[in-house]
Amino acid sequence: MTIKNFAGRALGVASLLFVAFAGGVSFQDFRSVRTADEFVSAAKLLPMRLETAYLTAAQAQTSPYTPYQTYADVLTTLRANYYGKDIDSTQMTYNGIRGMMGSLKDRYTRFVDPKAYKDMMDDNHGEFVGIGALLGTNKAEQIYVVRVLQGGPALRYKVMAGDIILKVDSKSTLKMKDTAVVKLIRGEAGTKVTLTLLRKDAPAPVVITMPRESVQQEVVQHSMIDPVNKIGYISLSVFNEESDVQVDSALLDLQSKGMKGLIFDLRENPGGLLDIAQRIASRFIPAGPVLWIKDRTGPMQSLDAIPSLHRNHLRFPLVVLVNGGSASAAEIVSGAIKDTGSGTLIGEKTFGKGLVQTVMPLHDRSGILITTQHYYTAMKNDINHKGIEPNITVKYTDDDQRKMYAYLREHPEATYDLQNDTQLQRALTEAIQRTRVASARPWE
Amino acid sequence: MTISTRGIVAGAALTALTAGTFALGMRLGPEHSLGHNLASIQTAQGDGGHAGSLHLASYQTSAAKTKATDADTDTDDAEAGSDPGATFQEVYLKLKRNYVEGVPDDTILAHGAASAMVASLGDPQSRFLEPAQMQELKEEMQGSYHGIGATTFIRSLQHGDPKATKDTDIPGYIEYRLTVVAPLPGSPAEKAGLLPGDVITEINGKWIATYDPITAATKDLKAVQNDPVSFNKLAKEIQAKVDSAVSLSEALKQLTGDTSDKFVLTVSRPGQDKPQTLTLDNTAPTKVTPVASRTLPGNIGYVKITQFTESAPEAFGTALSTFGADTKGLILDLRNSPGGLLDSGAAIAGKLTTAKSLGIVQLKGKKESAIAIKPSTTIGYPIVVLVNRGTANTAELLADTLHRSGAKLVGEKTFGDATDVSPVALRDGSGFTMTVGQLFTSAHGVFNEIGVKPDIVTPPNASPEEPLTQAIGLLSGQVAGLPAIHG
Repeated sequence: MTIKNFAGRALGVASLLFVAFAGGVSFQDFRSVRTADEFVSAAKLLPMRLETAYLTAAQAQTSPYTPYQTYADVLTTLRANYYGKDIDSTQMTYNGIRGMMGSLKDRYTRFVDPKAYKDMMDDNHGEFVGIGALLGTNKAEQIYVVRVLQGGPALRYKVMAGDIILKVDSKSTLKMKDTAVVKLIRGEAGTKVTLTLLRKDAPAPVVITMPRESVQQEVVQHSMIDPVNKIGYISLSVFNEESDVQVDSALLDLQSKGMKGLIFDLRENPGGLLDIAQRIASRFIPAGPVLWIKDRTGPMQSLDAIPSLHRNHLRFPLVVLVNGGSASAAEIVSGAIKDTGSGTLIGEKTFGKGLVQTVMPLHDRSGILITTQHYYTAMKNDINHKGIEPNITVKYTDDDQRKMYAYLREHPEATYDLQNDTQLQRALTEAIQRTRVASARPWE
Repeated sequence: MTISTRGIVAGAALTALTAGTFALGMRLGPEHSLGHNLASIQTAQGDGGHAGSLHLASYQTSAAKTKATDADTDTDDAEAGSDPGATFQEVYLKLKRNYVEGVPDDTILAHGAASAMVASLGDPQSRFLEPAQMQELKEEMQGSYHGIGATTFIRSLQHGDPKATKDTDIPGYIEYRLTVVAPLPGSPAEKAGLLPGDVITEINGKWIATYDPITAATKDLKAVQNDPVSFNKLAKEIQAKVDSAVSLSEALKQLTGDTSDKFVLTVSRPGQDKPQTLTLDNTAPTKVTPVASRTLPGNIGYVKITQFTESAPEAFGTALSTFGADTKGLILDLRNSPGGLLDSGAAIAGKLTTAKSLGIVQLKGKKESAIAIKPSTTIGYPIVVLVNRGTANTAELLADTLHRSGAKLVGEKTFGDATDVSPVALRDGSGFTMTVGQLFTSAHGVFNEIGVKPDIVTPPNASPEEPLTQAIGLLSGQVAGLPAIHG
């Protein structure tokens, strides 16, 4: 779990570093602003006149000078006089907005351009447009299908786990990274993509053409980690609109198999939607607050466990795995479980983010995230910059990490690596022990 | 264009720095950002990293989920529309209404916006200036320098430049060089031995962020991307470098401001392998005398122009008038003269040559236009111009113009700064500098990054007296290079 995410990040480095500035958005003429014109008009004639003009203009201050006017003055001046690449007003405005938001020095208060906004929304909805297959890289550096997701085109068109992807449309995947191949496969819903696949025992490469469709992300993985003691395992990678549904169906599945204890893995879970955190926590804690929130003006207000979602509470011993990558929504859930004594936290101290952002769409399809509230755990603990200490601390050694990473690279389909994951081992021991205690006290 | 403008110029190397921070997904709080300019553009390229970002979001549109949601249900329809200004204003109003830590300050928001806009040009000569820095700029234009008392210029080395220390085959990779143009006479910089061409790499022991160490380490990071332990270790090291660094704009702010009474600078000097450490006293502002003159033995007039200020032409005329009718020649010393007003350059040229123009300027979207020299009475005796790698901009054009009229150039190849930079004042006292054009010699010659070549080249290690001796030799009819009379 931990290491898989690490892999994602490592690959992410390469792709992000190559992000270039996209331009080419047409400019709609700027609304009339009285600008730096007095001195800039001089520059249109000859540059050497500017100094004098500059000295006089600097004295001509007007009293209500809003950030908007500053922005407009700068934009107009740059468009008229900057010697260099042409100024794209939309992109320049976005940079101005980024700068304005950045001046608050809160990394969570930020601007997202229209493309990023759409991606963020898709992420929050738990959807992406593709074929519904999880890809990985094998030892021979080939890209192959690790797993075919439920409800996606790949399943219907009979793409199979283990298939090696030779080509996407006419493009060879030779020497490509899995992230790059994913990029090729994703696209607009309704368009088609053709994969050329090398399949074991097939005499010739299999060619499949299928439509791209909106597919639900797989954010939950689950299994009966210990079939003898009936210990279930659920890992949740992010809190989006899919999380609630998928956690629920995992719980139902495990309960139908007679689960007696549960390990809930929130390691490297960076958070997500607040209301989803509230809903998921509601399944594990008693009635009462899940968390408390406070904005700049109001008093502290509780967000309570939702009674209708309360059915799983205390039916079985619960162990929650956390680490430094467990943040925000993951901290709300693990904090609520710890504060209410509903389960045992094992692992490492959590990230420590006690701030809530509100996503606000803007008129041009871009959006902003503004930190609007502080939150506190069920027992009103402030965790911002502090994190949550687990009940039982288990740290990885460097050796553990290397082994796990190697294992998961070779077994991308694996949900966990019980052999090397010392935190998970401890969680399992704890869960078994607590299950025994629980069953020895039938009156509970 | 003015020395002062170039003296406090900033770079945009910082965009990449923060983008890297986000890309690595390191555990960084806002307290780790590199200073104001960095912080203000920290999200500039962070958008791409949304999938891994830590957010705890509630939607404004899904009403009543949180209280903050309610707070903003009244949308800013008055500003609705598709023009970018409306988007800006919309964001501004939402921040003012909803931000958790109190109502944000207008000045901080405005300056954050302006500095990010100017920085996004990626042009090291274009830079936002806080009101205090604008004040310093004004004073510099009048010949009073705070800080080290040297003008600087930021050169940029693009991807693929063999001189770059860390090129990593990454398109778009840029390295900046905070280069000294000219230490001014009597300045802390001159007293400590700072030389034209020196590249300042550290200020008070802190690395100046002139390239993005994360981008620079891409190869190394990729090499260990399958080993989480080594990867995290390397990432931590790089982060430590970022955290302890001072941004380019902050460095310039310090070097030109009144921040301390002492600077320790680490510089890399052309031709020397080891970095030099220089200690500069910064106790009083450096007052520059734009024009100084004297008569050398053998009736040779000597005029040194340090800064092309508004008053320089008049002072130059006065200097010329002190030389008698039997003057044999004029030595015009333009060494360590970083430039100034083009007008002043043209006015001074008018007293020395009948040439029609000082050079050519190309502005945005305009035809090239000549920088006209007003005809005036010119001197009748020969001229030798002293130049070195601290001769820049207006001074380079003057040297070239006089050369075309028959004057000999003695010394080193000049700096090669043909940028035409203008200060722009904003109404609240802040402002910015901006590249408005490029200069060419009157023969349409490009001298940016190239410089102007002298007729007689003196070696870089020569004593300051040597070019002067050569010049005196030329004007008194002696053969260059022979031992000559010292004045």
